[in-house]
Amino acid sequence: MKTGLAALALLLLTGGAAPAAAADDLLARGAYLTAAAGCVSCHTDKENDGTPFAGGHAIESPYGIFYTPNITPDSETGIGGWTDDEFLAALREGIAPDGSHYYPAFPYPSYAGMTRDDALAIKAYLDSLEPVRQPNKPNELRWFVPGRSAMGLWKALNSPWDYAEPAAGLERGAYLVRHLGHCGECHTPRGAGGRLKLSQELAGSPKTASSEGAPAIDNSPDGLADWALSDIEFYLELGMRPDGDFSSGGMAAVIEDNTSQLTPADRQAIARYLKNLR
Amino acid sequence: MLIRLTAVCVALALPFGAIAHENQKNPEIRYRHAIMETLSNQFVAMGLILQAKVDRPDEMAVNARALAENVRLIAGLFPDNSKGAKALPLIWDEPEKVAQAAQRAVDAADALVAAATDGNRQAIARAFKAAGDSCKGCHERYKEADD
Ligand code: HEC
Ligand code: HEC
Ligand code: HEC
Repeated sequence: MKTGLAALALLLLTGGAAPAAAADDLLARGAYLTAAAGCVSCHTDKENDGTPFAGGHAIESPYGIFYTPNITPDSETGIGGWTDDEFLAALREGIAPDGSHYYPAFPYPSYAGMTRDDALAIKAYLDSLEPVRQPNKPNELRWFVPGRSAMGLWKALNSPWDYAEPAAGLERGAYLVRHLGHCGECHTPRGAGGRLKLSQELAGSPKTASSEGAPAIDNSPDGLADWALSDIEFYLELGMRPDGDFSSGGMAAVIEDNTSQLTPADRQAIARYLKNLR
Repeated sequence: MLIRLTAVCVALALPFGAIAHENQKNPEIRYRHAIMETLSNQFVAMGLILQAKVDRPDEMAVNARALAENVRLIAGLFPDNSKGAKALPLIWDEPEKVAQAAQRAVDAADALVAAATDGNRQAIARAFKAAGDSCKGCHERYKEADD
C-alpha cells in the first residue's frame, strides 16, 4: 500500500506526468498519514472549537498541563518556514529548531519509527493548510518536573521505544500501531521514568488520579481474546464494542480522527497485529 | 478487566453491595435499565447487519425505527423517585441540559431512520456512529464509569 503509493508518486514525478498531479498525490498521502498519526487530536483545542492544528489543547498529566503548540504554517506562531530537517528532528527525535528538547507528551518516541518519506508527506500536508495566527500557551508543569535540558538525558536512556522486528506479514499493522497510531502510548504499561514496558506491549495501563488508563488490547483474556478480527475492525471504524457499548474518552478521539479515516485494509492490518500479540 | 472484576468483588464484600442490591429492586430503576438495555441491544442488532454478519439488510430500518421509538422514552426515565444506581446526582440537578441530551439522542435516531430507509452503507454507518455517540455523550456526563 505505502510502497505502492510511493512508487506511484515516483512514477508521476519521473514519468513526466503533470507535476500538479504528483503534488496532489503527495498531499493526499500526507493527509492520510496525518490522520493515521492522530496529530489533529492533540493539536486542536476541540473543547473551545479551536481551528484544527492550531494547538492550545490542554493535555493533563501527572507532570502538569501541557498545551500543544500551533502546527499550522504560520511563520510567527506556527511552524511555517521550518526546513525538512527541522521537522524530522522534532517529530522523530523530539528536538526543537533551537536545539532544545521536547517533553515526551509529544509522542516522538513512537514517531521515531516513521519513515522519512511518510514524515515529509505529513509536513507537505501541514504546509498546505491555511496558516493560523495563534500564539502558543506556555505549559503549566509541576515544581518537580525537570526542565527541557534534562529531557536530553531522559531520551538518551529511553527514546525511541526499541521495538523488536515485527513478525513476517504483520509489518503494516505493526507500523500503524506502534509508530503512526502510537497506540502503546496509552495501552502499554509504563515503568520507571515513563518508559513503555515493551515486554507487555498493549497489555493495558491502569487508571490513576491523572490518567484515564486504557484496557488491554492484546490477544489475552483481559484483552481482545473474545473479539473476532471483524469486531476489532468494526470498533475501529465506528466505535461500537461487540456488547453494544460505544467508545468514550481518549479512544473516541482516536476513532474519530484516526482509525475511522483509514482504509478497510489498514484497519484489518491493525486488527491482525493486535490478534497476534501474545 | 481484571481491575474491574476485583472492583466488583470488593464491592460485593462491602455493605455497598447491599445498597446496590436495594437499588436493583426499585421498579423505576429496573424500568430505566430495561429500556437502556433495549436501546443497546438495538445497536448490537444493527451492528451485526452493518457488518453483514447476518444477511438482513432490510431489517436495518426496522431496528432503526424501534430505536427511534424507544429513545423517546429517555427524557422520562429519571423521575425523582429513581435516584441511584449508576445515575450521577447531577442528572437531577440540571434538567434542561438532560432534556437537551435526550433530544440529541432522538434527533440522531431519527437521522439514522432516514439513512437506513434510503441511504447507502456509508451514510448508514455515519448515522449509526452519530447515534451511538449521542448515547455516549450523555453517559460521559451523567453515568458513573463502569469500573
Ligand atoms: C499525544 C499528543 C500529541 C500528538 C498525537 C502529536 N503531538 Fe505534536 N506535540 C505535542 C506536545 C505536547 C508538544 C509540545 C511538547 C513540549 O512542550 O515539549 C508537541 C510539539 C510538536 C511540534 C513542535 C512545535 C513547536 O512549535 O515547537 C511539532 C512540529 C509537532 N508537535 C508536530 C506533530 C505532528 C506532525 C503530529 C502527528 C504526526 C503530532 N505532533 C502529534 C503533542 C502531540
Ligand atoms: C489517548 C489514549 C489512547 C490511544 C492513543 C489509543 N487508545 Fe485505544 N483505548 C483508550 C481508552 C481509554 C479505551 C477505553 C475506551 C472506553 O472505555 O470506551 C480504549 C479502548 C480501545 C479498544 C477497545 C478495548 C475494549 O476492551 O473495550 C481497542 C480495540 C483499542 N482501544 C484500540 C486502539 C488502537 C488500535 C489504537 C492505536 C491506533 C489505540 N487504541 C490508541 C485509549 C487510547
Ligand atoms: C439523557 C442521558 C442519556 C442518554 C441520551 C442515554 N443514556 Fe443510557 N444511561 C444514562 C444513565 C444516567 C445511565 C445510568 C442509569 C442507572 O444506572 O440507573 C444509563 C445507563 C445505560 C445502560 C446500562 C443499563 C444497566 O442495566 O445498567 C445502557 C446499556 C445504556 N444506558 C444504553 C444507552 C443507549 C444505547 C443510548 C442511546 C440510544 C443511551 N443509553 C442514551 C443516561 C443516558
